[in-house]
Amino acid sequence: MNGKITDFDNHFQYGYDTDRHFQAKTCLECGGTSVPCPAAQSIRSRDACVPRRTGLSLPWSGLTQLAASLSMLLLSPTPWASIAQAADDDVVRNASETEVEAEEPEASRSPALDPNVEEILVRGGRSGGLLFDNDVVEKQTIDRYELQNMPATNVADALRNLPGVRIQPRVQGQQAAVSIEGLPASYTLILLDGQRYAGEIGSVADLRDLPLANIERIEVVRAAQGLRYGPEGGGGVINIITRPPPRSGASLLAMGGGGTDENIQSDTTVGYGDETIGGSLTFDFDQLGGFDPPGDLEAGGEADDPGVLVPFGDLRQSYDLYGKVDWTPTDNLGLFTRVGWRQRNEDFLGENPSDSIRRTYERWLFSEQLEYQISDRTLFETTFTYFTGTTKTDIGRSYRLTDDEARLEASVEQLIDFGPISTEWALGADVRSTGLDLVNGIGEAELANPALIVPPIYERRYTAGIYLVGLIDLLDNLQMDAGLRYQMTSGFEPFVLGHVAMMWTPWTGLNGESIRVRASYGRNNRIPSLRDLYQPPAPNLGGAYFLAGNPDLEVESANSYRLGIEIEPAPWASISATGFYNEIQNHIRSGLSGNIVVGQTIIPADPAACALADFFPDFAVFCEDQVDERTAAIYRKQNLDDVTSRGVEARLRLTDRQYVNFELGYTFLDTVVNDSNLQAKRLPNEANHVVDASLTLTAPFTETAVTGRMRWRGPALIEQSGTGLLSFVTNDYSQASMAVDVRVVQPIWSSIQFFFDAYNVADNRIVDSYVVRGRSYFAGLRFLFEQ
Amino acid sequence: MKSRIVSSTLLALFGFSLAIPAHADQFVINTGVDNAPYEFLPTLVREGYTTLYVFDESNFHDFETYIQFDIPAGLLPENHQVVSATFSICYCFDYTAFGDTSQVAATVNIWEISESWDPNLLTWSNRPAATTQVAEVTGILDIGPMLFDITPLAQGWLDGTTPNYGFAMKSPTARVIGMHSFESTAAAPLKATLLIETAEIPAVPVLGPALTGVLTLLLGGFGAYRLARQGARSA
Repeated sequence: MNGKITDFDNHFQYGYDTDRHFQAKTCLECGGTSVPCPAAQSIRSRDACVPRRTGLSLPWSGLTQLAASLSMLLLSPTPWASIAQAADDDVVRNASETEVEAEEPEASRSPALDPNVEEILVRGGRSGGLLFDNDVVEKQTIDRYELQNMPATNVADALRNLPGVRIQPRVQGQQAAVSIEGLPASYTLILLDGQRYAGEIGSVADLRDLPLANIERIEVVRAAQGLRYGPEGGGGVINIITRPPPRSGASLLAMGGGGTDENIQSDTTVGYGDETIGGSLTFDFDQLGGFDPPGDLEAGGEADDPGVLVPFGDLRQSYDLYGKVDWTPTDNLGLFTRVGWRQRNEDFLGENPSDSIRRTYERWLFSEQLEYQISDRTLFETTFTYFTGTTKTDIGRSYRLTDDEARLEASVEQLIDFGPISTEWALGADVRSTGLDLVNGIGEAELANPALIVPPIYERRYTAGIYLVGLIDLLDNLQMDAGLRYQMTSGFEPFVLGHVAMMWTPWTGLNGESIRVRASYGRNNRIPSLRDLYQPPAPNLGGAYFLAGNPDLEVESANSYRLGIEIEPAPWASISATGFYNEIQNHIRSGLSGNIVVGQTIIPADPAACALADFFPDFAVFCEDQVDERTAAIYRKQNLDDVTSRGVEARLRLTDRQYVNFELGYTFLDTVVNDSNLQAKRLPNEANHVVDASLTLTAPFTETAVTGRMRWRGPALIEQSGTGLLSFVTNDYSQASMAVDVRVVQPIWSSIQFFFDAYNVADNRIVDSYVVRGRSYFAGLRFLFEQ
Repeated sequence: MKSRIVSSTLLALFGFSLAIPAHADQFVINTGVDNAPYEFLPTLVREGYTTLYVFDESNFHDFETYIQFDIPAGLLPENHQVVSATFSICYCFDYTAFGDTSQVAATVNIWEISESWDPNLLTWSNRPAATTQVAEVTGILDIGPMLFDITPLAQGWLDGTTPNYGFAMKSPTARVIGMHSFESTAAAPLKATLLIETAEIPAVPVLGPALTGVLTLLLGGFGAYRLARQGARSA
């Protein structure tokens, strides 16, 4: 049954999967027998398909019981291992693999898990050694067990070593913009529980905004995903899925710690639920200070690597509240509510305290999702989402910029069999209203420089899309996922997006070994974001240059091709290699477009120069005061002719899923820029060769886990702006760099876990064109209570 | 006899010639190329930028400015010399992009460039050698024009004894000196300007008219005396 369509799965429990409903799904009942899922009995029955501990389910009747439960947990065997195992089971089980699991020795199973697991739904997940899930497109799931062993406290750290993924800071404010396989960061859609929660609408999101403590898993989907998510997912989607609210009793998850560079993090999630309703609330505080440049720069010397960019922000603090309520009033109806608030403050301290300036960002999210299972083979889903984010800044220019988006989505999914061919179809539509509201302040910069004052800007865009996507089992071992989307946007011509992907499994072994071949093609158009179009000139690097939008931008389009093979010769090993080719036409980047007047200076009369007027009459201007205009270079968004990226990712994974996990990755990437107006012929900061490695070892008795990971990057073309401005690219290449991170995790009590991180152990301070944080440390405790 | 008369006449004419002042010309040159490489971005070509900077932050944000004027051939006629050459450029702004502008008094000096350079390729990393200081202005505290006396350097360019590779502006002080480049739309006198005054080369030091007259009379009288005496002898 591997890879066969059987029925709708529990996306409500696993909610907000990146791939939504179109997955190769198999189902497994408790006891390890591989059988098809029964026809979806009900949403609640689907809820029962997840690991659920029952042994600790005490009646909830007040704080007394809570205290009693807490005491029991503290005294019980370490639950972290069971969590780890449960995380594996949640996501990464398929029928074949389960048979393997059944043969594992008893000792390999968590003592706390087996008696408590009622049943397990098996959906399109990866088996023990596989790198990717059992999906038509390449989707990698990082479960919470892997996350808790990673040297990472936020999503940016967690994904930093994924082959083909590059995470970079940007002058505009993002600490960690993520780009996949040479595609711009604006092609990567980042979702939190299926909803946008970080970054600019229609533009670049910031992974640094997302703490890890309450995350259940992270899904990374490569290749074009524009059909279901719209053009913003043209390069891939990263979906961060938080822990579901408890379905019985209470839960408490807390993490706190501190480290060098004024790093303080605190994350607390409380939850409570019964059989029909559950909710959780997470509060997160995150503080990180600035850092010193490399020693040679600090001493006034030149950097080893030319073109390095200084770090930004002296102190960054963020506060985050995120709540979710899942309610299933009837067997076939589910309502899921998400509310989020986040504020981030960045203080840039001058030499004098009075010189400090601040940038703040505040955002709100509300989403309501309804799922109604019309029949065993029909599912209806609709979601309303409202998101707004406001940036206030006094850096270089005083203004308030608000993005907002209201989105309504609806889809109907239907299973249809055509004889022996099983198909699953989704017909969906979505409408969006996106706004940009800019109000200029009159700060000191504006008083000194009236040219910086621009009229208020208010723009609103309406977008609608309708799509049809089908997942078709052409053969037992051949699946196809294909569809079309018709996209309409106010102010632009409508266009059609297309995608087709196939997975062929030519061989499957008795113990789950397999060979999988994937191929895909995607056509994606990206409409310029409102900021791309209308952003007024904004100073960067304190006014050294300005960035501005361009209302004349055209839609850019991308074609993506992928071909890959994944071999699992044994349940503990997997090898994959994927070639990719991305081609972007009318690529939107910033380019030099002249100068902007940024101020005036009064040149006082000068007697010496005035005296020269006797011989040189022009110098009479110096005989009296005169006004002189000041200018700075301005870079506007523009359409480049053509950009291509191509390369290969090769990966190896060896794991026994318990004591050893080793992964090795190599990425070759080549980029080409064709534009007659630019000297640069490659994209900056994209190294040709990158090697990633990680090794996790777990001690059998103490359960001490040690993870080391490394990324080596070869030389890359130097960018000198941190903005992706091709005009700032030189012909020089950076030196190779290597970053090594280590985490040690030690359960010290049944529900308490200690961890210690060392980042950038080699203290390599420059990567590509960027000064990066040097060696730093972080230590913390995690506490888990589940009733 | 005849030759004596001729020589005396020439001598008298020479004496008169010493009394005529040399002809002087003034030229304004305000075209050329300039560029201000930036240490922080050592491979950045700033050609086309409208700004020039010069300062030494004692960190990695230093700027220098390189200027080469277009000096037309034949500007200096034969037997002429540069009486004065003044390089003028306006210190027009002190940018805050590089942090608080230092308020210390600035010093800016001019260094002769000894090799050719291409403004379209000039960067901090490949900036040409400029090792001979030719002028300096100190105590710069206010925005306004800066005047540098570069007469010897301009003389060499005009008479062809020194190749015109231009000059570099450097500063050992931290005050940010911001200037307009040739690409700027600022008024011409605010941008780099070379003011040249030339004059004919005098054969001997110019004497005063009275002394010249006396000398002429003495020479004339001496010639007349020699002629009279020679005539008396022959008689």
